[in-house]
Amino acid sequence: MTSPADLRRGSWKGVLLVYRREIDARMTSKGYFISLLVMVIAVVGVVLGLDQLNSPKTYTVAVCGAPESAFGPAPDSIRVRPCTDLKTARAQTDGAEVDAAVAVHDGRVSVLVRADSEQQAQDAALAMGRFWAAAASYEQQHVNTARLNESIAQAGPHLVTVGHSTYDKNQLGAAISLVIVLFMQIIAQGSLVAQGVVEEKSTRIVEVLLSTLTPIRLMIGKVAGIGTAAIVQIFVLLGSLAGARAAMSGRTEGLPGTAALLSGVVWFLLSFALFAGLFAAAGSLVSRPEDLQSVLMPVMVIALAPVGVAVAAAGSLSASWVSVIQYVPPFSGLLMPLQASVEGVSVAQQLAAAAVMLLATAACMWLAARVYRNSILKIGTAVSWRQALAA
Amino acid sequence: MKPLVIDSLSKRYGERVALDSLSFTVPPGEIFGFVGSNGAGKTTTMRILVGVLSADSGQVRWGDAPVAGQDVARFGYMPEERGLYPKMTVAKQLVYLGRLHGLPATAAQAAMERWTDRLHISDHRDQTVDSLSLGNQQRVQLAAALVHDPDVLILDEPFSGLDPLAVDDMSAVLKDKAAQGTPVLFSSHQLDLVERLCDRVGIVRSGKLTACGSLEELRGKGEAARLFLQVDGSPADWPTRTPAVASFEEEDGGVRVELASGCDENDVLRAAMQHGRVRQMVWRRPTLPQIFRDLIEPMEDEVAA
Repeated sequence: MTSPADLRRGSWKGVLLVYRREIDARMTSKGYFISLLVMVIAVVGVVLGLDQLNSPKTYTVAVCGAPESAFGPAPDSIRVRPCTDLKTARAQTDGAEVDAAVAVHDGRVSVLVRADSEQQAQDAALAMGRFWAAAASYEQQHVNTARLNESIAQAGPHLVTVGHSTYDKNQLGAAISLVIVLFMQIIAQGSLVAQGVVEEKSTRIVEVLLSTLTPIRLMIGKVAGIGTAAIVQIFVLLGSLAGARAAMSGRTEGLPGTAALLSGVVWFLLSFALFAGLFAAAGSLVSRPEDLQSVLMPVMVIALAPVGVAVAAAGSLSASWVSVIQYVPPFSGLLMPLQASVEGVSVAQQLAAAAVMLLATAACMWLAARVYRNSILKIGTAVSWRQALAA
Repeated sequence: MKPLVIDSLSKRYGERVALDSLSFTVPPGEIFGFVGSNGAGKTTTMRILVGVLSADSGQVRWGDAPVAGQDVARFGYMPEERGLYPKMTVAKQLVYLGRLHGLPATAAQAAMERWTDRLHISDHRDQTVDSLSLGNQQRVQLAAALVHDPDVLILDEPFSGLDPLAVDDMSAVLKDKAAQGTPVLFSSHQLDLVERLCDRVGIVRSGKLTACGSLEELRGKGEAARLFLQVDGSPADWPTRTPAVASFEEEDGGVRVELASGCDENDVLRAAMQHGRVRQMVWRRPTLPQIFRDLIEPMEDEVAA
């Protein structure tokens, strides 16, 4: 027995046409550009915010009655400027021309601050005052200051780092936020796949399309098209991130490094491929867009599970349970880029996890194709996952 | 051009039999009307023909060979549930569907222009489908089935929802395609249209073909022609005591009578003249709706009993 549906209809050219139509439909829509613009503004905003937070503030301290060198070396954040006398120092401090002042008069030193002067400026001015006072006292007591300094330098203190931690918290925090953002993208773009499928089903055009190509090819073209639009969006985002970072001349220590970004993107693609078919299958179960939420729920839960696991694992990336689960899809999609960001896994380990992920993706696609084929033409009430798999 | 042969198609949905060994042939250049009650199996048959569904058993052949993947691309299909992308322009939509059916880009563009002209929607090419009136959306749908100049046309309820002008356009297109040698298969509940357009008709019931043939052949299976008379000034039941009349029923302000055996028109006329002035006497042949009712209703009564 042969019937046309058993035969492989059309060529891969059909897939390409579906793919191009999807890209065209997504990337010429206003919504696409508006959401892209909003995300770019958000990314640039975050980078600028971090820059503002990380940029060191400078304070001005006026000194008088002694040369600048008599007050010792000032910290980087302090700009020292000379003034003529105590009266001027008081006027400049009061008028907020300077944040604090150190004035030597009548053989003693006064530190002038306002009640609202920044603590850092007050501390620096006090330290400068103490330095002058100590130096003056040593001189009065005939202390050999050169030998004294040498003796202090020998006694310490020395900074010693203990323990085996190989990464810093900032780096890991940045990586976690990056992969969570990428996973949110998977859910957002996956929902678009499901919406696209249900749109074709609710407008009934799917029947015309299926008379020219098989369900699996239609699904592949669709998923690939929406995926490409998503990736373009992500690359624009990463580009704006990199651009903003370059513009801030490396003062944004809180942002993920290039290797972490690259690993994040590759694992995003793998995770998207893993879930996209399931989102398409979910979309094929219902006939109306408003019914979508209920069938998407199980897929959303599976897609969000790795985020919870990643947050739990972030505290102890070297724990033994993490070293096992990091190879298991879909958790590997989040844990591998996290590990990569702190150099916790080798490239070979990542490749092994990717191979497992690809196998899981093939299984998911097979499952999705089965559900899609069994439910795409069932118009009316929602088809349950069980019915779609059993049919 | 080759015939479309439907050979013993069977299909079940769980316990329900949708098609039961359904067979018929649509030769090149023929318009074949596919009629039946809702749920009789028309849509399932058409979906199997274009490969959207697979049959449990049986075969669809185009000419001598089973229909293969690349063949279906040469079929034009209009599903019962109309479907187009609402936010896509008419032109893009038709070019896309033409290309999916295997046309090169330039040929698809030319075909889109030709069919939008032919179906009087060329002014709407750059409009999105959801901005068009329902009638124009239907015309776009027809253009979508025709844009690749198919070698077989399969249309599920193509006339439903069409205004009279669109019905005329659609009828003209079907006749043209048939004249070019294309086998045309369409289903419809508008039996007057089927009667007017089709060379042959298949009546399907519960997945089985209960009758198939030209209108003349079907008339031979249903009730015979009846004599219709209008007699002014007569009581409505005047044929009751007329020996030349075997049975009668009232119709259109007159009566439709079945002649008693051995009697002819003159016997009935003589009897009628005694009851009043005979204004009209004509042979009326059963229409397709009457044939359909005669063939389908007794069976449904049997099922009900």
